[in-house]
Amino acid sequence: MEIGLYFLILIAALIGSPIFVIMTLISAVAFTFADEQLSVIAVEIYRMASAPTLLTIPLFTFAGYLMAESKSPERLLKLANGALGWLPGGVAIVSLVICAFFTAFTGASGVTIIALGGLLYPMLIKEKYPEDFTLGLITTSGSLGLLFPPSLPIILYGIVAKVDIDKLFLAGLLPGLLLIVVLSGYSVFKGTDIKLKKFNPQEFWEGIKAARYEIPLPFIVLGGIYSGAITPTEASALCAFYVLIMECFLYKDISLLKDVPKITKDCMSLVGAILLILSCALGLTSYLVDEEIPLKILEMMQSLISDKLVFLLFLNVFLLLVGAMMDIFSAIIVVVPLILPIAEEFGVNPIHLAIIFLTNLEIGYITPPVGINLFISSFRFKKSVLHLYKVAIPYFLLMLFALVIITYIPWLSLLWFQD
Amino acid sequence: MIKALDQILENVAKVAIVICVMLMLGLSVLSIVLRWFEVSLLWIEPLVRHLVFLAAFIGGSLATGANQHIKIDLLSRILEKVEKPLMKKIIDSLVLIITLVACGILVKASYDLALIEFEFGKAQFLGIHSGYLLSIIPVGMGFISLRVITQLLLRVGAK
Repeated sequence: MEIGLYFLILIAALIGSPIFVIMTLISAVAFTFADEQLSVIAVEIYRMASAPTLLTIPLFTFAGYLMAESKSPERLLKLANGALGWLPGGVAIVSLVICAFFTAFTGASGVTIIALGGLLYPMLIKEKYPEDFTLGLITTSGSLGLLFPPSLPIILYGIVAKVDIDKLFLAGLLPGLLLIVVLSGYSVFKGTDIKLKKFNPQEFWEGIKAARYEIPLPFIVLGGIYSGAITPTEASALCAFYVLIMECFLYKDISLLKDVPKITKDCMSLVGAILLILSCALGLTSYLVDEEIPLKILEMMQSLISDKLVFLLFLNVFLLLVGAMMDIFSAIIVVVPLILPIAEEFGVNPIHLAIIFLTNLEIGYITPPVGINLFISSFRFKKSVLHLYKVAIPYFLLMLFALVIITYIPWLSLLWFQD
Repeated sequence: MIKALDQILENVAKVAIVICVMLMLGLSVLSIVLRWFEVSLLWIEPLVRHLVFLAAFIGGSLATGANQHIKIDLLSRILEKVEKPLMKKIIDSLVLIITLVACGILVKASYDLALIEFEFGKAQFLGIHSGYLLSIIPVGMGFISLRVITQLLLRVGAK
């Protein structure tokens, strides 16, 4: 009977039932057959209300959505173009940096491709970059800043795994940079026959002037957190407040009464969907831990794998499969509690594990068949998904290369915590 | 009639979510500013956490209305590609029925818990009884359930 019900739930998942519904049904079946009251699920859901860093999720996302709806993308593009446009592969590198910045603030929710794709695509084509290269670049960049603060997946990982968010913010910096450097290298290689521009101080100055209010933002958020002056939660409040004032009153791109309610609705519908999964998964996670499921998986794995390096390889393959099938938010919520104790047993540092996990899932965004960026780009640029599968391949391989480095050189993530 | 009801639910959620987010934002900034003057209001932090908690359900109802819940949507993409609208409509309706079942379970489970909390709980911040705080779950899930019902009726009624 129990197995039959789980089978039905599996079918419900495959026909497209929301993940929070699937979590609820699995917990309901599990608790019923364990002779527990169903109100245990509600106890677990309510536990979410006591997570101290919960506020960072809606507020950073709100700030990101406000910027995406304003003219910030144009201004930042102008600034990045003035600063980096003269490099070989310049415009492509500018695109990578801008996308990374935006993804960090909008939480890799597809907003980057929608908000920036329309600006970057014609610009890259005009500079005579091949079309397939351009499509692949924008598709990949849609999740590129995921390791940089204050990205939503990092925060969610911190909440689920109970790891300090400010430490994760630091740990992601170098690996995130590595991904940009690898992709920039490819852009330089692809753009060798494109004529170099000279650095133009006037253009750079114009860029700084245009983006004068955006420039302090990373300093407020990162400087505040890293100096210890404010907590990540306070940083999210200051950031959202600053962006609201900046867009509504300084640049006047967004109307407080006309646009802000709509933007709030759009952003909170995503945040609500994520938080519902998070809260409904808490019941399931506590059941799995009570039943010592991670321990059982660990025992099974220890009979097959004894070496940390082999375990890391196994972890990468497993997470790539997860990333290709699940969205990043559900994956963090469901998979992290399972692998955390196992990885610890194999001697993997929890902060390093976080970065490996997030890099894998970042690659998942462009992995066929269901990598979400492939679909967003297909929709945005009106190209077939199959075509996008093809153009994403070189980027997929490059990201894999970076993943191997990030996985096997823990120093990149743990440099800041050596003592 | 159903369409109007669905629209009312959407508008209520929209207004509630804007109030919720602005309160979270305003109170959090206020608390930081007050700290500069070495004043701390202890009720702000738990209140803001519960506002986020409440926002999860209101946002969930908005995601239901916009069909934006996170899910494995491979099948619906395929059905759209091969142009099988009837099949898609049946599956979409089935998904909504399953969603309604899950929401029902959550409303019942959290309602039972809230009743216990009203009996044995105590006042938390600002004198708010813990029973009311816990009631966010049954009320929130009930609100989402209403939206699921209107969406289901709209889909079944659509030609």
